Amino acid sequence: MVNESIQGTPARAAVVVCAGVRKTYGTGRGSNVALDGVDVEIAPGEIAAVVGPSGSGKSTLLHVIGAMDRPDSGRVVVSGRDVTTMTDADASRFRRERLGFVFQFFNLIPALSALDNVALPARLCGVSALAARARAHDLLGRMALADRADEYPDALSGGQQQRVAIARALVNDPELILADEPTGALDSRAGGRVLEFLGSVVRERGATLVMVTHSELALDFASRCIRIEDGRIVDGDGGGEAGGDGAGHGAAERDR
Amino acid sequence: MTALRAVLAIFLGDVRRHPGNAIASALAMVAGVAVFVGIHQAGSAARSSFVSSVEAIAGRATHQVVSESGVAERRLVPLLGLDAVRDAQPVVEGMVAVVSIGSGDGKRDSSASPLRLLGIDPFLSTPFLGERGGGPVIDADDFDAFLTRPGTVIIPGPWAAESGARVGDRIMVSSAGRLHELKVLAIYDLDVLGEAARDTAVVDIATAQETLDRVGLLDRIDLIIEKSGGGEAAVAAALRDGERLERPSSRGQRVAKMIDAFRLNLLALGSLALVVGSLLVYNAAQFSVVRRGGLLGQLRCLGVSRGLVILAVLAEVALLGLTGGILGVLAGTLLARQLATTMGRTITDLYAFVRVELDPLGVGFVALVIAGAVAVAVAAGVFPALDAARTAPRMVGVRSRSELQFRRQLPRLLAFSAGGAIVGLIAMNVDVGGWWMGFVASLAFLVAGATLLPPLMALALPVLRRIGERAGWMTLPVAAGAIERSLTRTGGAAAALGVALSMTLGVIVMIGSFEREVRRWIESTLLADVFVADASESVTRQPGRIPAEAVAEMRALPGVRAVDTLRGVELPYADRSIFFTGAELPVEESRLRFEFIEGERDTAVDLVERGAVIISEPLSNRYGLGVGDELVVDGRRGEERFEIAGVFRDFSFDRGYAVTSSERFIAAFDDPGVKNVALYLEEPGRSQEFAAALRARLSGRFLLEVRSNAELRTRILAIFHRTFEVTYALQTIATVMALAGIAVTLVGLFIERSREIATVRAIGSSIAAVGRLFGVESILMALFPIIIALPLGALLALILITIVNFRSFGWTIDMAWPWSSVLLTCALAALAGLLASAAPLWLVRRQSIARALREE
Amino acid sequence: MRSSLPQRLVLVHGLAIAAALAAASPIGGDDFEAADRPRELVFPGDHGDHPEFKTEWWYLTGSVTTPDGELLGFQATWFRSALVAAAPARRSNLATRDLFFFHGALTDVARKSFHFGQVGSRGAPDWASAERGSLDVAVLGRRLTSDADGSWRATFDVDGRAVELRLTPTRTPLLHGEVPGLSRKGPRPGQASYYYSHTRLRAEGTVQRSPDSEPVAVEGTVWFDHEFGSNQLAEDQVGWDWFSVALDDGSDLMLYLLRREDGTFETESSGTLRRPDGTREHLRLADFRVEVLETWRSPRSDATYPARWRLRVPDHGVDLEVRPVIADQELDTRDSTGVTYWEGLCEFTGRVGERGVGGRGYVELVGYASRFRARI
Repeated sequence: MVNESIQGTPARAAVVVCAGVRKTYGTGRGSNVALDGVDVEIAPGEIAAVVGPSGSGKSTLLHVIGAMDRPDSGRVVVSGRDVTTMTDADASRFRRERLGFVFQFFNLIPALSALDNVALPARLCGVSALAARARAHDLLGRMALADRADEYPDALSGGQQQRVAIARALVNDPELILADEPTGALDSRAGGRVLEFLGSVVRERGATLVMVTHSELALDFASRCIRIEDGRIVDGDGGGEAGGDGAGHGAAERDR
Repeated sequence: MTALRAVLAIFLGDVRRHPGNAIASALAMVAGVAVFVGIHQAGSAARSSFVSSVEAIAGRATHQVVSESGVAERRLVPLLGLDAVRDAQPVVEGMVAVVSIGSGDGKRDSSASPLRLLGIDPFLSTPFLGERGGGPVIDADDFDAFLTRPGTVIIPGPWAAESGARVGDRIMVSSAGRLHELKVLAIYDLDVLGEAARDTAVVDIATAQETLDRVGLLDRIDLIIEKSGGGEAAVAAALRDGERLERPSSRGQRVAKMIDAFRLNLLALGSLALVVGSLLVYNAAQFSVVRRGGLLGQLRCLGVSRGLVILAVLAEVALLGLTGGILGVLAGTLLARQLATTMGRTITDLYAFVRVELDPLGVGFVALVIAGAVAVAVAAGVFPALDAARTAPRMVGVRSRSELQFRRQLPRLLAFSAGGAIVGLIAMNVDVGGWWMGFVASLAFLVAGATLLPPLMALALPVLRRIGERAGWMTLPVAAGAIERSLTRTGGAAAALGVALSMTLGVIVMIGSFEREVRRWIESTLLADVFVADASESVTRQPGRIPAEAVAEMRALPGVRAVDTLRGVELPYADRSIFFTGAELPVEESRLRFEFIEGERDTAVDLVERGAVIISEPLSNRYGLGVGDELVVDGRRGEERFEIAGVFRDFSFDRGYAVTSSERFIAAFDDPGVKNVALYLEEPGRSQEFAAALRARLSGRFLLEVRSNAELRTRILAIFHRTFEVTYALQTIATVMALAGIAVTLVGLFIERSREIATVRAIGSSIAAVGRLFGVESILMALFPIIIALPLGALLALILITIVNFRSFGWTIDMAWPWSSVLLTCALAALAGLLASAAPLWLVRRQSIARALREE
Repeated sequence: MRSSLPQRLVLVHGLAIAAALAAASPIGGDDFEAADRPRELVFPGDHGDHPEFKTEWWYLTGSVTTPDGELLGFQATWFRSALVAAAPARRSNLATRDLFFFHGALTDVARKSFHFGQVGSRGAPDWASAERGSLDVAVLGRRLTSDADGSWRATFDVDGRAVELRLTPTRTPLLHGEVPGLSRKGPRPGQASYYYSHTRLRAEGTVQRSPDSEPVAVEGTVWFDHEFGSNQLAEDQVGWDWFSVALDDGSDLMLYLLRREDGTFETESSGTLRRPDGTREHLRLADFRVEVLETWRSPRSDATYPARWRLRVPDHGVDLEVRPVIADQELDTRDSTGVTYWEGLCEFTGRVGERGVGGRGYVELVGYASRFRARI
């Protein structure tokens, strides 16, 4: 599954490299600069928290890294591949094979059992249903959810759902996991447990995690904090500074 | 494949959770396919039952010698003596109506279906048997009876079972204006003559001649001609004037052609039901795409490519089409059973006696229909699939995206609509022969109308909203806004109803115009006071015969001022057949009863009395014949040429109808006997009583149908309406389908807005208020289709009248606007729309506000 | 006494209907007149039809030669069998009380070939009919009729070979039976028919030797039989052997043997001899001897027929050997009427008194292939 260009990447090279990334939505007077020359590198094994007020460009950054949005200018290299020039088919393939995603509202497929939700990305990669389920079962075990494998999402608590989502993000053993407010829809206790699981599996596998968050808990747990305001990184080093809580309701809260 | 299966499984899981739309569209497909299959099956059964009963009787004959008004029986021996003729058999054949069946102890009136009497000569028929050549059916002793006892009949097993007739029973039949007695000698198995013979009773040829009043004549002589060495030419050279050498299938094919045209008309109409079905599939697919906006974004995020999205959506609609197709075929065979009776009766009214027995559908046809349903569904799913593929990968769902995109599509829809209108206009004005350009035009206009609806709604709804706001009646803006916000789906459902309603209105207007024309025509041409016809005619649909004594008796009756008689033969003409008649025109009214379109009445009728001919409008239109042309047909003594002196209006024979004088007719065709008699009374006001008295006087001696002017009018109109029974049925199906689509759409809209509605209710709005809201929404949903359907229906009616009707029947009709039916239909549609709002309202009543508020 | 095409299988469009048309058929016999008394036959009136009798046939057998001297033999039979004695009056001309059949056979001696054909029809004007009071019988265009000058015309075809002959009687009719004209067929009264022959009709005309060839002129001599009666055959009769010959010394001889189930001959078997001077002798069974010298087995029907005979009428010094011109002159009608019989041209040679004689005649052998068994 690992292709040669990725194999050839030096082990210590950054997993994510953004250089001069600009992204504007809309045109003319109504236009809105989401990213305004972002430069950032994220090294393997880092757990990076992206913080900033609503509308600051956090989610856009996540989408750009995830090959879902194409920047107007600048370069984005993920796992050694320039994701800004990929076709949709390549980008789709790259996402399903190399990336894992965790969503704020868990976004489990209601029509699938927990087990099949976890197995889904593997199946999208062409893994047989049997093998994909075996893998999923294993991961659910790690998430302490082996006994809930056959439940449907609406029978699970929020924390459980998010743990299933984490398992889903890991099923293809990605190098990079992108998470958008993974604890945003959970109370602090459940959120804490989710972060524990997330942190431990990411570390265990030597994966890299980039998450957008408002949560104090998450900030504590991150190894690095990247702070964005008005589309620029205002503080990209170290993880000491806790982000704002989204008090500034931006006029264009367009991603919600 | 694994990935496709995974995504498809997710979609199908979604369908399981929100089955309404899928069920509605699958049902629409089922109905569309069922209508198609039903008409096809019933229609082809009617056709094949007719063709094969004609062909089964011909057996192994390679040729037939036929002649208008019959082949003389003495012609058998000369033909048999030709070297080229290996075998020959004389045949006398015709339908008889069954009046009663009686055994030794009594008789019972019978509603048994008519019998086709096949009169043969057993000595000469043997070589004409198919491979079937069955076992012995009657014994040697009975053979004498078969040959020598008048009225001896061998009846087919199924008919015997159906009618309860047994060996030894006496069957009273009506033919040529008289009652005849047939005695059942034996019952034969169908495997002897084949399934097609299920109405065929075998009699000796002498009995057939006597019962069918054809003494001295044969209907035809079947021949087996040596294949090699110009046998056909040798036989042709030996024919006398008026005799014709035909292939056995040609008669069947002439009628089959007419049945085909009839069936195709219905099939075209039925395929419009599929159009409604496909619109509802489109609607369902579009709805799913919108509802699954978030899900699709996520899946894209998880790495599902655009191609896979398209594939999965298409696979989903293909499954829908497959389900609809399979269930539709099943429903279609059920529908065919209903249609078979109706269509059989209509075809019998119009062309020839058929009895429709359904054959199982062919595997090939079933596969084709199901493939067609899948193709229609996939075609309807293409745009939604492309739309779905445009969904960007997102970590957070965006719902209104598709609606926004749909709004951007509105100009495109308008362009599409304009394109449809242009294609329709072109098709309307291009004549490539046949009526099918009319079908193309109808389809194009329907597409134009369907695609015009969403842009129209997008323009009109904000206006309504503002009007409501100004008037301070908040329900209207809320309802209009709700429909507007969900235009993807509401537009589709409205389009489906618009199409169905347009078709319905089109047909209503067409039939209404037609009926007005027929009534007017009856008024101006049905002038005699009492009409008499052979009683078997209405059952057997072959030209009847009124015994000469009966005609003479009627002429001599006191109170009768004048008598019109009509003689007729059915003649092959070009690829079809026409009805050629000879009339007596003794009084002023007999002249007045022709309404001339071309030619001047008095001149034309004078010319007719001198041997010219006047022809009916369909005949004129179909073959481009007019005053001054000649009508050339095969007569008894060879080719007969008739000068055409006029063209008159006629709605009684769509095949075409020609009238000359009785003398000229008899000279050309010999005298087949009088077919119809019309009596003019000295006291026209007493026609009812006179008819009753005449009936009483004739009964017992003759089997004639006597009708007063008023009774005949009623009967003509009844037949007229019967002709459109199938059409009405199809319209109803399409409209019900579309209304179901509306109901499901409304339910869908409610589910989507359940939180909004719960909020409204939480802050104190009553169920009644919600009901009002839904009511207004559904009326709006019906209003737009009605607005579109009025002009579109008129346009379709125009096409049906001026293209389809004209080109397939040759009738010109002025368009009339039967307002009451039109308004009633529109009101019914609005009412049905209102009823459709009951379903979501019922859901609201059951809904827990608290729970709805919690749910996303 | 001639073959009567006994039972017949008829198909009504696949409805197989077996029609018992045998002269032995009991159906309706009671209503017909019987040949149970002497009858004065008056000619030409009695050449015509006698519808009051159930069955009637007109039979031509003869030999003709082509200009090249090639010998042809033929048989032509017109046969009427009534279905009912009295039929109701009907409007249709095709309503019938009689069935008619025609059988034809042609023996081409030079080509050693034998052909036969047959048709049947209901009695109906223009289709099949027989005139009362004069000779005119026709079955679907095969016709035997008399002209004003006293000569007859026969027009028929044998399996596509057209035959047209003008026939001129050269002698008075020869009446058969002990009572002249009444020919007994069984012991009971009524088991008899009226039967006479024209033994030497001079024939001139044309024959098509094959369906595609031109007709050739022929001339020769023809034997005519006419017989009518009702129910003449007895139950236990299985068949018959019939001989007829006009000898070159001027003698005419007809003999028939009715064979019974038990192998004996019916006592009413008889014959007629006409001497050159015209005197007629009725021959009873005891008066003649028929000795079978050879047999022939048909490859088609598997039946074994006698195939050479010695005929003797000792009191009249007749001693003849009879041999078929070709062995196979069997009419295999299994596909139609179902009665298979042998009827063929034979050479007769021998003596009458002291004088050596010769001649050609016909022999008919019925009941060897099967006993009137109808196939169904």
